[in-house]
Amino acid sequence: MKKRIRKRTGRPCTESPAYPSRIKLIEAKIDEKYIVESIDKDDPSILRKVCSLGILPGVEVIVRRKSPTIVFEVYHSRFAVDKLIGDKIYVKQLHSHS
Amino acid sequence: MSHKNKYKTLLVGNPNVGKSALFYQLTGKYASVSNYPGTTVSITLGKMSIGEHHEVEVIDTPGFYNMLTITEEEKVTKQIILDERPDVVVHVVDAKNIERMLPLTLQLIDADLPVILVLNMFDELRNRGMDIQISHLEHDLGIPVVEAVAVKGEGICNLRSRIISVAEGRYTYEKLNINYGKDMEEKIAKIQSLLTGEYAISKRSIALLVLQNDSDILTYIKNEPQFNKIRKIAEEEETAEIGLSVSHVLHNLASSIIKEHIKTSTKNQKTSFQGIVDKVTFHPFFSLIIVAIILYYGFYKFVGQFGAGFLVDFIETNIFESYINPSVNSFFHNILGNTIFFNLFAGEYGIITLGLRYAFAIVLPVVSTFFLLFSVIEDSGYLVRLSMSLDRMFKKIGLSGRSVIPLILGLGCGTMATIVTRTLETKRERFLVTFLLALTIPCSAQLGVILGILGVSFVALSTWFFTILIIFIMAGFVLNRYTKGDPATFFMEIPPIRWPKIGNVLAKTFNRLKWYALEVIPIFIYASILIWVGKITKIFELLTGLLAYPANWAGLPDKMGEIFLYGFFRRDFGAAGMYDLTDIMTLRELVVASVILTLFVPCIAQFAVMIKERGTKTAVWIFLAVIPFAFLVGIILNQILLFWGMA
Repeated sequence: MKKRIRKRTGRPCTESPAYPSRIKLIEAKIDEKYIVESIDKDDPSILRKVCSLGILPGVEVIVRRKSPTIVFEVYHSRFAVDKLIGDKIYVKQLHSHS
Repeated sequence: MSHKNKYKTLLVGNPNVGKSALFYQLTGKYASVSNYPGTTVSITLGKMSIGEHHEVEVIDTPGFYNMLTITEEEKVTKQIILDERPDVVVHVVDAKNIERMLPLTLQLIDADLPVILVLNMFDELRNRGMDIQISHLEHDLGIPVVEAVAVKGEGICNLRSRIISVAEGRYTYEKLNINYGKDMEEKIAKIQSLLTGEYAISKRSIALLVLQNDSDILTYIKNEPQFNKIRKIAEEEETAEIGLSVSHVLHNLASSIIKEHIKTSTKNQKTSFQGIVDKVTFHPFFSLIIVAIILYYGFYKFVGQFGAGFLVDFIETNIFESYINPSVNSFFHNILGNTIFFNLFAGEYGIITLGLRYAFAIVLPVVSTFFLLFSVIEDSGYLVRLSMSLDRMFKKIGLSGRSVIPLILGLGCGTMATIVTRTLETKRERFLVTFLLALTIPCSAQLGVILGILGVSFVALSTWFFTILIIFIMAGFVLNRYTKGDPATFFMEIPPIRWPKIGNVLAKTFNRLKWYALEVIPIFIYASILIWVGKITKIFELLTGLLAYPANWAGLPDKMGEIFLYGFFRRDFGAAGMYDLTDIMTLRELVVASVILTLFVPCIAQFAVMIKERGTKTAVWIFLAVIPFAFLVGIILNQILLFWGMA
């Protein structure tokens, strides 16, 4: 599974071992369950907005579409975000150890 | 007690949770909308009377997600909480999204505010096969919890009595303890111990906001004797890290509380109909087909042919021309004779025979049909999907998909749309949309008249449409290239597709029409008076004479100069004036005239709103850029059409 993701995203295998399966939201596979791992802190305005809407580390997300915008589900709500924001949310597969 | 007890209640919560519907249920129809001092954010005030002894002032606040505020709207809401010292704070949430929205409730509880939690749209939660045990939730949170369906008026009585009991201090809050971890709690305690003043929210929550470097709260406590020491502590902290960990604690607590009290049946939660609708509305190709269907049946058939065609014809011919105008003319002729005052009220340019005729016969039917259509599209949840589909394309001209909403509303009324640009996030995006609204977007009356005039020829209508579209794209590119600022980001919650409820659609349409009527009818009357004054003093002759030059250069008759001038007093006013010219102009002239009129300066009302929202400098700049550009496009288009051989 991990290998497939790396292949798809072209991510080198020398990636930091602390985040074995951490990928960006825009790289997530459609209709699979992920959990939010972290949110990029470089852009404070995006960070605060994402947080205040309850999209926080530990929350389950399912990406439903990637075009024309990224559509994902959190709890019982759906959100549409553009690439700029999709780039700042990091997710990992729910059962990354399996 | 002889006099009334007066209490203050705030409604807070995310946008789109039915807060306004709840507000109207609580207060009835008596509401006043005003701008919060020093901002362009509007708040709504209303009164609710219970029995003879209680009067509650209800304040509907703008969208609020978190005590750590981001947008101007949120800052206003926080300021109201801090300044008004409300007796009750009603947190309204979308019941099915309670898990996501509960962290704010927890923050309000932590701030020692008298909170009532309203689980609104409870029917949608049940429709998904879920249920919440209210009494258990109430027990765990230690605050009153009310289920409601505001649009149907359910749960309102219960909420009213809870508001009174909280306001009178009859409810005993059992404060829920929130633990942010040993490290954080120590930091909170340290700041808390430095605070000496008396505040509207708990010192604990002030300390938390200070640790997250919230600028409003630092201003709020600036008179503290130890202020510099407090600020120094805040500056030394990793504020982003703290923000994330605070959110995380609140979210985990919310999840653990909700998981215990929410029941989800194993039945299929999503009907297959919803699934199909989602697939279709999200699909790039099918969503384009839906746009085409809405454009054709909604705009062309309903607004264009029914509103601007049938209704306008009927009211104009059967009511004004047959009954009102002749009797008004003879009435004023009898009392005023052949004086200049006759022309003020009746005759060719009179207040009644021209001003009110345009307002009621031409503009009102078009605007009513448009607002009805817009309310249906808005309530169905389709607008958000349209924003989503267009986001990527809009990014190329520096806008986000969010701009779709004011731009489409601009097809109804540019003045209203310019006000709605407030919902956009950056100053840059607001400027770009204001400019595009002023230049390229025709309002519904204009659109109706243009559809009516050019609708006879498909080629003519397409020429007009594509010219405006090309100008829209070109102007977008140029403005994007030369306007400073960061690119817009797009982030929207997608509501489920719902069948619009007739009552809500009608109420919304009625409110928009009421606003429009109050705005438009006085302006039509002023415009008639100005035209009358302009005619007598010959100023109009001078101005229309001046405008006739560029009109001539674009191959148009002198009379169009007059239409352009009227166009400023009211864009639709000018368009309506064009109806009278259809017989003497060729198709090419009509196309060129329609293009110039669409691009030409916005009406006086929109200009006034532009000054108010964007500042005089920007507004005047836009105004002066638009006039020569409109004529330039007209002149070029005329040459192209002549070359192309259009008569």
